[in-house]
Amino acid sequence: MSSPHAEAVQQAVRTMAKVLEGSLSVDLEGEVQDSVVAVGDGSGRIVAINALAHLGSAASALAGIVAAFPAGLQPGDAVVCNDPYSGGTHLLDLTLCLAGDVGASRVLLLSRLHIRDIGGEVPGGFHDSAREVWAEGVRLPPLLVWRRGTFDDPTAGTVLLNSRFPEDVRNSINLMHHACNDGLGTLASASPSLDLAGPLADGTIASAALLQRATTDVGSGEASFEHPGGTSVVRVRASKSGDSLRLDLTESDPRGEGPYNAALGLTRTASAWPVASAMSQLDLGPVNGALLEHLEIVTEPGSVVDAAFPSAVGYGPFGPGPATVRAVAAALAPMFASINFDNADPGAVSGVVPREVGANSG
Amino acid sequence: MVDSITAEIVRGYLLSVTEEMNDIISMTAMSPVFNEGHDYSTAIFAMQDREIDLVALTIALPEHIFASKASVEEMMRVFGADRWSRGDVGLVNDPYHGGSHLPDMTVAMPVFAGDRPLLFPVVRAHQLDVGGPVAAFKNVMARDIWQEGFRIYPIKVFEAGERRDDVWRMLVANTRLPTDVDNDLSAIIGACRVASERLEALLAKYGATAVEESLQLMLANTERQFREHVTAWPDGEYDGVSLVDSDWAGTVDIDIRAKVTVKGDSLAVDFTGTHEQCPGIVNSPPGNSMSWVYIPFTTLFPDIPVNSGLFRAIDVVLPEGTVVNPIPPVPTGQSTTSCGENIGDAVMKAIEKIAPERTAFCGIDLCFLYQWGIDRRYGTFYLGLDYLASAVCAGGAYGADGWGAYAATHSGLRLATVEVTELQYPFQYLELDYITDSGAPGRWRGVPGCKMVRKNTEDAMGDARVNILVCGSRHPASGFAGGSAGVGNYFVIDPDTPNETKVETFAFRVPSPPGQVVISRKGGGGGWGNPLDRDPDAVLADVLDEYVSIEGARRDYGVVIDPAPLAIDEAATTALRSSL
Repeated sequence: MSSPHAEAVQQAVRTMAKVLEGSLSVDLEGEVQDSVVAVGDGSGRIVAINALAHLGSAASALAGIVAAFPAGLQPGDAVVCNDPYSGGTHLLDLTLCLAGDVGASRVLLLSRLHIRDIGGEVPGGFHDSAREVWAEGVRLPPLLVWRRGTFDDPTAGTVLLNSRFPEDVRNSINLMHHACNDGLGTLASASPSLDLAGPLADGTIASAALLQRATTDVGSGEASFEHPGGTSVVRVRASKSGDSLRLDLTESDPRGEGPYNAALGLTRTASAWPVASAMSQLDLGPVNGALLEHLEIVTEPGSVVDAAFPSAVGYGPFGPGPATVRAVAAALAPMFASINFDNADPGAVSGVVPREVGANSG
Repeated sequence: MVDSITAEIVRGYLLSVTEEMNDIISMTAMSPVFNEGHDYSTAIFAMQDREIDLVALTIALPEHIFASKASVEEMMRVFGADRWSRGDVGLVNDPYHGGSHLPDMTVAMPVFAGDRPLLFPVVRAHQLDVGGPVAAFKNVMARDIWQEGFRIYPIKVFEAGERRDDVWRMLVANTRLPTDVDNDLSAIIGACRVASERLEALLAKYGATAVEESLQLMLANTERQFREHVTAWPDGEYDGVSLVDSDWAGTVDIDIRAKVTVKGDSLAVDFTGTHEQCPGIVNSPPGNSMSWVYIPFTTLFPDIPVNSGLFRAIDVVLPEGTVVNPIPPVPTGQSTTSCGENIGDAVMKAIEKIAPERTAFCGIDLCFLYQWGIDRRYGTFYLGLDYLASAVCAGGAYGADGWGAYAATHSGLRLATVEVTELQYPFQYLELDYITDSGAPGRWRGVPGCKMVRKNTEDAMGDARVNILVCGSRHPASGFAGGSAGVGNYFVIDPDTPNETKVETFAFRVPSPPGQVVISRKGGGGGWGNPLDRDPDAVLADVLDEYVSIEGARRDYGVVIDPAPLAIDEAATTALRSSL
């Protein structure tokens, strides 16, 4: 990174990640793979993130949060959300966003953890015969749980009440809030006159540099995944135009009846991941939300990569998500002959593996 | 101290406010469950010395409003008296935080006297859907509360007059009927707002001191009058038992045991010995159980205004871990009727031993027929609760036959009109009529049972499904003082086809394609008194109305009717009755 502000932001992300990694209980060890921390600007653009596989979903979540509060979040406000139809991935991914000011910059710090349960029909949330999102658990569109630094106990109470493991959820929320607060403190001490425009501009330059390496302007790829209802296919047509890369997934199969569908946030992250991974390996510069501004991801509502509300989406990270990563990598490979897109691990978008959770054992 | 005339004016004013709230919701709510079925209740609570008291209620569903006391108390516990502001609106639905079952959302709005909240307009209303695995939330497969739907802790949806859009979004995100919930909650909160304006006007006119003294006077008067009646009863212990058919999870004949103890002017109800909590959805949380304890007592003395003064006169023991006071997280989805009404029934059965002429069936004996899918006419998702499948339950009472509707305790619940229902849902009603010889015999008989035949039209699309939940099949509505019990309830799906299915417990997510017919056979209310004491002229009138057959008149009432002129054979009747 060229900008001193960029280094401050990276430092904040490292601080946040360290808080999560250092504080997760043994029981939540698997969840750390599915955790994300990021720093965004006041408009919701991701300036830095610790796990590029989640860049697209973090951006979607942040966009959903910004849209939910048109008057803007105030310093000390913190929002939680998990709704796949408000920018989330699946219900078990709980995101917290803390707003703060550093210098003249409004900063949004994002943290996400996988939680063990959010109600629904099956303890543990992975409901392989769910047909609707409500069977998988409770939807949380962006909800204020800290207001100007004060914890809103009654509001958070509803979130906790809807988990079979309320103490786990409380700890996760507190931990994410702690991480974001520490990240904010790091930013304030490292760069008191923080300006986030520089790092984003660096990201734009890096993104353009990648696109300049294209040897052809079009490519296509597909990947399939198995699920209890059969096999579904994700199809991608990639095309480059100027400094923009279009990933057209509209030919993908229709959504399935069960939960092997991807919410749009997941598809965005799975589509961006091979690109982000390649940029990172090529050391072209910082990879951040600026990349997403160079990616046009097109989907057909009602398809397996853009589940129509209220489809179940709990297994999206284990079916259409990894398939999208593979299909995009396959589509881009002939366009960028010298770049290996296969280095993006498809499993990275899924994080934890579904597992049995005993009812009421918490 | 305020004079009694002013206090009575205040009491009447409060009642009129609850009625206005009721009308506002009826006229402005969007869902048929409200604007047709009136499955909501309105009331005013007061907070004095940190005690929450019910001070006025409209004629609606008593288990709603009496149970709301626990909900408002829980809001007060969470928010604290000093954390309310003008324009706030609180909401809760969680059964383990003052609620009953998840669709019953309680909304309360503070009205201030000076700087402290004094009065609370309150609405409790049954939303048709609160997310969860099963549309319309009645999930007979649920074994914990999370499998029933969205739980709401006491939460503020408005703060100082400003809606919390984030909280609102969460509420509408967790229902399959977001437009309905959006509009219905707005209607409910609108009613509370009008009520708060009315109450502020009351406080401005009479002053907080006079209003508070009026409240104290009306509460004390009710308590005093009730205790006077109790004093007239003989001291002693009186037992009553009522049986719940099942919890739909393998437990049957769930016994609710009430011991009513009268000592001087004191009255206690103890449920020790009641069945332990169940795996299925019949568990009744404390607020709901208390509500159903109060219901029979409010019917005994119609001259006593109903308010918390009556509640103060009754000590209640609800043993923890029983079906009337379950330990979380067991499901509670059916608690408002089963075992709720059985709690009331057990108490009424105990009172029958003290004052039989004051007793009658006080439950509602509802069965539930839900259907959901896509209505091709509108291209939208629909979810219908068919009250017409469960149309009557009034039992006979001393001096009156069971009338053609619900029991007096539930007369606020209305039946939707057939024509409007057919417009709203892809159904066609083929038959809706009383069943001859189904009214429970008694000196005053129960309302006859009702048969409904409904057919899906060709517009019932989108993988339509039907859920049926049958209560009161094994143990129908009770009779009193020697009157017979009602007839058991059941349904038939696909009658006269190879798929014909008789439903006496439940049907779960049954496919419901166009043309499918569903029949409900709803039993009527129980009878009161010995049928042989029934006036033969009343029996003849029932024969003329086809409520009772000529054979039934002979068999059940000992009344011989000559079929040719359809007249009573006096001599044969006298002879027959003396031989029975």
